[in-house]
Amino acid sequence: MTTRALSRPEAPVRAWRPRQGWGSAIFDAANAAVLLALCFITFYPFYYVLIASLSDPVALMANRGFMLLPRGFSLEAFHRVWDNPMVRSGFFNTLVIVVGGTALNLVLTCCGAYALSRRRLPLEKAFMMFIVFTMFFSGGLVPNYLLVRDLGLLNSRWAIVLPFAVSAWNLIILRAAFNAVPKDYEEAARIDGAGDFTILWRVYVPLCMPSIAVVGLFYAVSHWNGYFYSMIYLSDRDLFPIQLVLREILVSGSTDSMMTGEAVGREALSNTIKYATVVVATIPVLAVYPFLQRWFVKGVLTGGIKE
Amino acid sequence: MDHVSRSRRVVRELARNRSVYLMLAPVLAYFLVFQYVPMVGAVIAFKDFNPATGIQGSPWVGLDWFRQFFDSLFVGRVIANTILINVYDVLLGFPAPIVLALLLNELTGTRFRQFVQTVTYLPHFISVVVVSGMLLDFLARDGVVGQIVASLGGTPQAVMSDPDWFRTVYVGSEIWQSVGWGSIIYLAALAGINPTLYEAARIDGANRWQRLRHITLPGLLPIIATLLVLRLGQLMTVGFEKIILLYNPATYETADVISTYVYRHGILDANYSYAAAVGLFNSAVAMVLLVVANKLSRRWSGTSIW
Amino acid sequence: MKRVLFLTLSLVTLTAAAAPAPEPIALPIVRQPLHLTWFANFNGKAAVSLKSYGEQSAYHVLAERTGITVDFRHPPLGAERERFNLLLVSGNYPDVIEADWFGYPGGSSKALKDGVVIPLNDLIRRYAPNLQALLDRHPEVYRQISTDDGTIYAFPMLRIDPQVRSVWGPQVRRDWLDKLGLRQPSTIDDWYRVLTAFRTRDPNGNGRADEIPFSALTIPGEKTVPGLPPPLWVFLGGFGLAPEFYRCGTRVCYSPAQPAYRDFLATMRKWYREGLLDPDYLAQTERQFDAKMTNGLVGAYAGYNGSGLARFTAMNRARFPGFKLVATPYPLGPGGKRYVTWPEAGQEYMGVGAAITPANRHPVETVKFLDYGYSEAGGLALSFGREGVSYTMVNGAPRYTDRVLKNPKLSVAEAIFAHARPQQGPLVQDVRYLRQFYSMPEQLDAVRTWSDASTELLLPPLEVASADARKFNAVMSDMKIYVAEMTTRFITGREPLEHFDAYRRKLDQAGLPFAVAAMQRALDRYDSKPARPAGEQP
Repeated sequence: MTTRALSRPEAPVRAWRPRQGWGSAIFDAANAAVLLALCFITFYPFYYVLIASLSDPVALMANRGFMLLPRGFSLEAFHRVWDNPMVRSGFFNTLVIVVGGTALNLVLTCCGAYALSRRRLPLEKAFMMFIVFTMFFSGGLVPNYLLVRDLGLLNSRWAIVLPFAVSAWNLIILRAAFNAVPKDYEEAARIDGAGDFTILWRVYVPLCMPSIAVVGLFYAVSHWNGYFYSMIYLSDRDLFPIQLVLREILVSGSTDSMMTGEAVGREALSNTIKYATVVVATIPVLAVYPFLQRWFVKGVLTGGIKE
Repeated sequence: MDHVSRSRRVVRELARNRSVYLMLAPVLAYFLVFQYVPMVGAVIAFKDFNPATGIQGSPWVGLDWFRQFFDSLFVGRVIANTILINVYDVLLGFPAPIVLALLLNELTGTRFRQFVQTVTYLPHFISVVVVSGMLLDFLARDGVVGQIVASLGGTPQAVMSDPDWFRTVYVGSEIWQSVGWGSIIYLAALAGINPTLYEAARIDGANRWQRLRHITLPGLLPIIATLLVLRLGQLMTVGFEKIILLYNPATYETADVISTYVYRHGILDANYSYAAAVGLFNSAVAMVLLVVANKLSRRWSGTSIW
Repeated sequence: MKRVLFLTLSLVTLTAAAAPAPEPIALPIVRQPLHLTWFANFNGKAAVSLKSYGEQSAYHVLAERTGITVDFRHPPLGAERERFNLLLVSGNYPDVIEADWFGYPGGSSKALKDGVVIPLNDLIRRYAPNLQALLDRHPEVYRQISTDDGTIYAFPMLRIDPQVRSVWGPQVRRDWLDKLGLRQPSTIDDWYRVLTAFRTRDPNGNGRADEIPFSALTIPGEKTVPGLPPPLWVFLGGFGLAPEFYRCGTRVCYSPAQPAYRDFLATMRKWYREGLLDPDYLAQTERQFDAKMTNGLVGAYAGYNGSGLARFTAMNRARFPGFKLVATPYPLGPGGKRYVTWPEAGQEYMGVGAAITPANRHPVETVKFLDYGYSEAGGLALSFGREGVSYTMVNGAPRYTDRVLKNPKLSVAEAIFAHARPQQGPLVQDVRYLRQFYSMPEQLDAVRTWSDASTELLLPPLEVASADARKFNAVMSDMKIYVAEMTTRFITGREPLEHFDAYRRKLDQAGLPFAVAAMQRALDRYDSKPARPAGEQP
């Protein structure tokens, strides 16, 4: 970046602003309208899922199309999802993977990004190509499986964490952020006698907090949403993360030839259960997200380097 | 005498950068162990892989799988579809999060801004299975969209059975799902632009557009360039899961892409070799694209990945 | 003396050689408790209450009686295919693998050749009296479950009673027929008249022409036929065709390439154009289809007896009194015969069976255990669970208890799976479990109606030879796409029917002759297989 990334986010300081003209006001209004429309479009499907999950199953089946309110009301779907013992163990497992995995990811990625942004490392270009190459070529499922098996990681949480310890994509992004920090900071710290680790921890991490938060969020969400490799490497159902559990619930909802004419509500329930699983899978992330916003939405930063 | 001092220099270099190498070591180790070691297994693209006899025990077939792929009836079509969908996605879907980030940046009220951000991120978390289900539902003739069309006097079409609509629906839903999430990274970059520059510009009387052109966009240029290069490197990749859920025989002609084509093969006879071969071809092309994009980016924007 | 000796010996030999009644297996099978590891696909219905089949009452009962406990290893739902293949890759085989062996890359004979499973003929003959007796009684079954050279590789899941195979067929709104004064459609022309009447004469009485005479949808995961959702398969029979590869005499034919297919497409095209076929048939979801069925819009379709007929009847009875969905016979084909076009109906064996791996160190005990499932007592346990808990004997026939049929927290299917595996194996599907679901008279009628058709067009389960497998799959993979697309285009009118010949030529180009020849060879091998395992005296 050609501008300076600065330290500690502070409260936005709104200085004196010149009076805006009419054009500006129109723009602001139009902007707000467009964003509001966007909000509606992005929100409605989720809203639909929410009210569908709260609807009475049989009434929902008869419904076609647009809904603003639940058709009937029933918490049955949520009861069923929550009663499933795997759901609770699923949340626990996912929590462990998200926290542990993201921590590992951030430590390694920060170290790697720092090292590769020093510009004094011989072979730096070679290392970058070494890393980028892996974004395109991969052995495929079978060799990866064999590796995990040979390392004795099968059927353990490590199999979901270690093979994904560093994402080349995130590494590149963070490295770009680190590159944007002027070298003066590093020099200043060195003069004060700091070593590389200290510089990383005390200078770069605080300065690049927004980017680190973004990368951390990417990793965390990726862990949260992951189910495929759990499907492949885990046999012990007690280790299943929540997305895998929910996926099983979704998959098992389809009809089959064993049904009687009674207990209709049961069969229609599978529909609302599908929706309930989506809600259950998404709510926790949404609950946590606003807290994370603070790190990179804070806005105006002040302070800096005196030239 | 000369090379002794050179090697001593190297050792001194290493010693001086000791901590940096220490930091880099685990990262390199990760890539070596978990990416390069399995990469050797990609050799099954040249073998007739049989799960029971393993990689070593499977016989060589050379380029047979590649030949089979390029000889197949639909190879031209799937490649064309893959590229076309990607091109639409890059043309429309790449700028979208940037525009969103810029619009958000112009908002003055933090409450509203946070509200918009939280809401627009939502679609990213919904699984592709649910999104596809919703699309099929909403776009059915008697779905939400159909009802709106009918109320406006038109006749609802069976959109999902029309091959001419497929790309639009696919790219549109991709944008819908990722625009909010994608804007995060640009917002983080915007947060890093020195506000004193804006102050100075205002004092100088610059209007909104001038501020955009001279401060904001240059500030975002590095991240935009980086992400664009990475995106172009993926021009041959279209995820199969969503397409499998959305397509049907009526839309094969525009919906069938390389990944779905190969996926069906894999299902039919567990042909990992075939999937590996096509994957290899895909990756090779992607790599070339990336190198080219990277060079161009370095020349035009000064930012590059290496 | 010699004569007496000779007579005695002959008598003994004859007695021994005559197929003996199955000797009951001595229970318990082992004195020390034995654990067997067993790979099998799990089931969504069971997952609601169990972590593995080992927790079912059925397996508790079996463990108590035989002394053998099964440690199931289940892949996560949705990952069955990948996990099976990775299991093979890992080389770490459990004692028993229960899987669809037709899906093994290269076919079941390859599984034997690769050393994944062991041949069972000898073990069955010595230690599996129940299965052996069954094979003796049903030579057809032996042909289906063995490879080309007669080797048996797995203990099969069998559906022998034709009634367990007549679970699917065309269904129509009887009340609409009655209201319009129409008879049940019997021929294709009848169908045309009936569907047109549905469309034009407003049988649902709401004054709007919103009826969908015939609807269809493709349920993901079910067997697919390119371009045709299952409900349309019933009309193939009316043209003397069956889905994909079918039997024409001693030969194998591919229906999308037959001249009669053109007539079929023409008819479907006409129906589509006139609004007799649901225009959403290609892309609709289950939810949409269900919504149409429960809103009094659909006149006819084809589906299951339970999840179709019974479910929709129950769901509609409240809102539409008089709603009556009944089974219709398969349409009459050329030559005056009705043909069943549901491929599973012709197959007692579908490839699913429990095989023993070389890693198994107790093959004899395992064989005995698996064989127990084919005995009366064993089959009862596997299909119904534990007597007194999940079923009781009523007039000599097993009936599920209320705990299963009227469980407040579980659906019927889920409740059954908490106790037993009546649909899976290895066992012979007991028709009595299915009959319990048929609480409505319409359902019993349905079974009768649908059984009254010939399965002669359907092929037995065939496997292409290992050497042909790769090329066959490559050819079929592309051809299916082409057939699916063209069929859809012909039906929806996007492609003029005059192009049928060009389409036919392209099929040849794509390798159809090779595919048909490979299937023909498979059928010939099947037909010429001996009815008995080699080395057996009749």
